Amino acid sequence: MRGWISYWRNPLWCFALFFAYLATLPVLGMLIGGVLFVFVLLGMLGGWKGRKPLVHGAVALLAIGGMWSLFTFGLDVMLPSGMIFDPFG
Amino acid sequence: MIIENVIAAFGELATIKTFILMMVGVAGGLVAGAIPGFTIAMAVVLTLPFTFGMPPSQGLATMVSVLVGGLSGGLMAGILTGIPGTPSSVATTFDGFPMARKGEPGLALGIGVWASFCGGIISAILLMTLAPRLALIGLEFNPWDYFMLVMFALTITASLAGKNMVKGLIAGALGLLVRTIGEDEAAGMARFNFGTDTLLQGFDFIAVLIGLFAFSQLLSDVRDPEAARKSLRETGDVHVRIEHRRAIAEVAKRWTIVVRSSLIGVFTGILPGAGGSIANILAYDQAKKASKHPEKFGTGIADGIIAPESSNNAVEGGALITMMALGIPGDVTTAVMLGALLIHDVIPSPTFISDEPVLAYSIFLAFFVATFMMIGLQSFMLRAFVLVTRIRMYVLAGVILGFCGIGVFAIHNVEFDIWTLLWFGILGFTMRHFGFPLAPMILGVVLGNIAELNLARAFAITTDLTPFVTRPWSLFFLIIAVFSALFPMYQAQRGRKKWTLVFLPAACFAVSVPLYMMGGIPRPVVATVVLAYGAFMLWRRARGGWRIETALETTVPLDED
Repeated sequence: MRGWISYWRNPLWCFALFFAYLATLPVLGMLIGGVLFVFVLLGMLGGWKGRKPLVHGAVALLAIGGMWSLFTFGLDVMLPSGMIFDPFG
Repeated sequence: MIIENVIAAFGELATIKTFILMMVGVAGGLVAGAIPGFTIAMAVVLTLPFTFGMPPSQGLATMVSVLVGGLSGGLMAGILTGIPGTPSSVATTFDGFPMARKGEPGLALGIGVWASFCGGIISAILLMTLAPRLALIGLEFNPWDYFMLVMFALTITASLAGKNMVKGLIAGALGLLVRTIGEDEAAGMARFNFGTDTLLQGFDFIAVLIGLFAFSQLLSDVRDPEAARKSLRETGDVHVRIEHRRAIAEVAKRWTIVVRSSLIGVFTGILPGAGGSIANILAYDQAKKASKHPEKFGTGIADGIIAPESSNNAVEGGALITMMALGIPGDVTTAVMLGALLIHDVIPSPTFISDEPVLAYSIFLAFFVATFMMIGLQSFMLRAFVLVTRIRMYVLAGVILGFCGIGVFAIHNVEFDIWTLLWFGILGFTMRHFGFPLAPMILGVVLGNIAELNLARAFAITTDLTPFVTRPWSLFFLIIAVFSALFPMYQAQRGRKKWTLVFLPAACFAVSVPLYMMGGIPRPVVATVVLAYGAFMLWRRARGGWRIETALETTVPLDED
């Protein structure tokens, strides 16, 4: 069992984190949820040593923040804002 | 008429915004195609959400640009690193990498770029001329013919899975099954929705496509933790200047290889399921067979780069011909293009080119213009490629997974679509692991409603089954579906079993029957030629005493570019 989990470790992390991202989407929204998803996923796949968390954080923020801005402001798509940004929405 | 349509399409595309979007598309495609593990289909799939807000011609021009860029991007990785960026550029590495290692990477890249350009242009010209003609044939199709055409497309896609044909057929059937979930389009009945309103709408097929294809591919790319933490090129720089002048001279000297390989590419593309990964190997093989010095292939000669590169760029023109003329996607990439058309409320069918001439010619023109842009951008994107190759695979995969979520939500602003992405991502990953080809399933999902609607229409006209074998086109597709299903068995037993000696003559005889039934003059003439060829093969084998010839081992990979 341990060998199986170790073999499939990365895809399992991807499934689990994507599931968590979707489950928390109504609360966190797509911006916070997306940045957190990418940051934690990069950490789980690439490790947490040294400057990696910093680099992963910057990558997550720039990539998801950029994409979110492009869709929200450039393409006028209303992405889920979540209860944090829009508690009464 | 054609010139009027081209001018109208040019007017549609000739805006600065469209031009910039096409440039970005080609540039993005070049980089995406150059990254091993990141396929062209994935790049086109990920472009789709950005095109929702655009007018149809602009959105489709952007997607076509990504496609053209992706087709040429694979050669950069193949020539400079020896690792093909996409399955369509596998054969390019056979001579491209040795030439680069001999100290001529600039010439190798130049030859690849110009061969790609020539293949793209030949393909674009054939697309513009053949697609309207094929559409005229498509106007003869009745519901029985259409249903059988879809069955043929699924069978041939499954049969290209070779030894995994049964798995291919299962995947195709699974795709058809997925498409039945939700409201039945013909009768309005709820199916497989388990009482929920969410499932009544069915699964959004773009979310299914992205899940099955992109999501599962990314999971496969990061499966091995060691490989996921590596970048394509750990250290070192690639300072290469593409040698355009010498390359043009080398390509021009070998124009026969360019034309032959491009034609191989276009006709491979027209066949559903057969794409660039088959065409580049076929073209390389044909160039080697026709060469006076076949022993030099693999040592770094120009012929070995020109053949695969001109064929793989010509493939998509062929696939677009079938998609635009008949509404049948030739491969995964054109399936996504079909999805893009549907999103913009355009339904590809034989009347598409005559009903929407400006949009159809915009696609033709975009293919043409993007091929020119590719030449201009290749040198710049070489630098971007060097930068991208330093990014670790897990970073790329993680970020793209994040993008997938946002992109899929943007289709209909429905959260359920992201869940669809996840479930189909898991399904696609599991299927890949167990050796099920995904292309038949994707085509099943895309073609499911076309098959069902036409079957319903056929049964609404009559419940009699005989039109499936008495209508010439339906019988034609049925016969080629049966022979394509038997083809893997023929390939495996050729040279060992006697029945394989009569397989091809029997196929020729069978195909000639519906061609005779079609009437007129040209088709019976073609039927007579096919019949005569079958008889000639049979006569040669009878004269040879029904001796079994030595089999050539040819396995064809299923195209999932």
